[in-house]
Amino acid sequence: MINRLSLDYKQLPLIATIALFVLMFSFGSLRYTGFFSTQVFLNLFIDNAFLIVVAVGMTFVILSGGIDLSVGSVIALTSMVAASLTMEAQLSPMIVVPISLLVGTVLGILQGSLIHFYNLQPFIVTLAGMFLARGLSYVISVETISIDHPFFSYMASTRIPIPGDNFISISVVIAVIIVIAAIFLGHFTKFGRTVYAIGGSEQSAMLMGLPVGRTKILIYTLSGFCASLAGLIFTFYMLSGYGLHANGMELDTIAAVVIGGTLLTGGAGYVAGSVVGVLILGIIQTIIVFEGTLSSWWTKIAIGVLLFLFIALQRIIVVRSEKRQGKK
Amino acid sequence: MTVASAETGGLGPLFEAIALALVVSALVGGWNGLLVSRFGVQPIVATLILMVAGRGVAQLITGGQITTVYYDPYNFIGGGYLLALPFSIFIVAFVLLIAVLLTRTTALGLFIESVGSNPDASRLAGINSKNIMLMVYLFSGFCAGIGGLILSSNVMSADGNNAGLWFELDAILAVVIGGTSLMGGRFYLFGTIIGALIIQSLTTTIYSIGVPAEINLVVKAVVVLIVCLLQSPEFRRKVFGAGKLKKSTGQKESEGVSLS
Repeated sequence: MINRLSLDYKQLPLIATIALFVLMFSFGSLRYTGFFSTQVFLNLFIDNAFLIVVAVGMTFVILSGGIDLSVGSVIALTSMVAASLTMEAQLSPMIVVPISLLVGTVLGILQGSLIHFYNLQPFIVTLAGMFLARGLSYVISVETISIDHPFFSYMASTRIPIPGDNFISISVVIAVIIVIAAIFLGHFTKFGRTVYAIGGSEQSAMLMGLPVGRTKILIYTLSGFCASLAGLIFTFYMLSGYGLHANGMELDTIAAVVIGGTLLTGGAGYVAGSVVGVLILGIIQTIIVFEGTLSSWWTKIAIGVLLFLFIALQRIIVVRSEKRQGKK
Repeated sequence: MTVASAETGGLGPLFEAIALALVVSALVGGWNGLLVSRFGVQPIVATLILMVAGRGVAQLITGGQITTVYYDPYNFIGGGYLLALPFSIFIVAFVLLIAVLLTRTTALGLFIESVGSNPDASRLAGINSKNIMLMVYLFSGFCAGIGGLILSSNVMSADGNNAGLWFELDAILAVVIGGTSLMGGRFYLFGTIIGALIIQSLTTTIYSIGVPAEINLVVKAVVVLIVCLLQSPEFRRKVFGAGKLKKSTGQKESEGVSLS
């Protein structure tokens, strides 16, 4: 049913998203002085580099028809591991970074294995993972651990100049590399095609002889790895580890992916769309900052409302296309 | 979250506040139900919207501060005593009684189970599965409202940041431990009560051994995974062997039905 849908159906949410982004950016530019500049645009990337990375991982999960609720907690756990290893164990970043990256990856493998081998629902497994990771970061320390290390300061404060008096951070470079790698992975490899196939119909994918099990575990591993990498970027950004970091980031991530045009039921969507989704979340935040009088809670509410609107849009599209197919 | 801002005096404001809070929570639950039943959104995502945005609204109402309630009768809901027993026990008993009556003496329970095991088949059998789903979410929201009342009355304040934070896993855990299938299609209300008691014992134990309270999260996550694994047919087949499985589940199911 959902597999053989016309192009316009697949692309409509993405087009709507890009239009919304342009609209919001021009709204901001007209309303606030100093909004319309390349640096404001680049800041969206700088402030949301970690969200871009998580959203990329989440895109694959949602494309396959699953969900990963553990990403926010994995960010917190990674920041905590990185902070405590650097500050309390006094290890060099050469060791800290790989270990931190392993945290989410291992958790992802575990979650993927539970989901595949024991046929558990993704939501309950990743919900448990979410609490496990959050709890483990509290086990490390209940207090905030601030990081004071040359490597982390370097990663945090280095500005890479680009033409026109603007700059980006190292995190943005990492995020861009991840996005390009993910686009390649999603659209030009066997793994990517299998992910789309599983999202379309797991049964069919299995009958076609695709490696469903292996791919499913890999998807959650990838999502865990992305969450860990995002956790590191987040640590560079905050220069501290804290168990409450990235609280509620799951919704932001899922919202970014959905707003970016990926179908929640799986099988259709683009990695690049999720990046635009993140940018929209970023621009909401920027507008709220520029407005000055709105409290930060409005961000949560705005994201919730936007997520609802896009889910509604998706439903309308799916229902319409099903009707059209019925006529054929 | 209710804030009874009235002066001490009559009980009028108390009932107004309770009614308002319960109506709001039922509406919120109904909204979730609407998303799930009419829009066909996956439940996990539909409720995730309010899990975050709802807290945002709560923070907006309280301004991110803890609002203290200066109104003594309000304390009675969560902290009062009736016949030497905490009043909240009576609330629990009352809600349980209503739920049991509704599900076990009317066909409603059967309908809910049937929608849970196969919504399409139930629809074809003449059950309005969409309305059943809507109603279930509405009731869940209503119950969450009652829980919120007890919680906030107990501490005489409304805290938009932390009240009920991470209760989701506790609630799911209680239900799952109680033997309700995560796949849907069978439920045991009394099992849920026992599950909730087990969780509270777990929490109290952890507090009293003296390990940091936050470790609770880890323990609960592990318990929920173990219980889920025990429910998974694949896991049971691997651990208990293939032949035994069918027999034991068959027996268990019949036992479960007769128990409730």
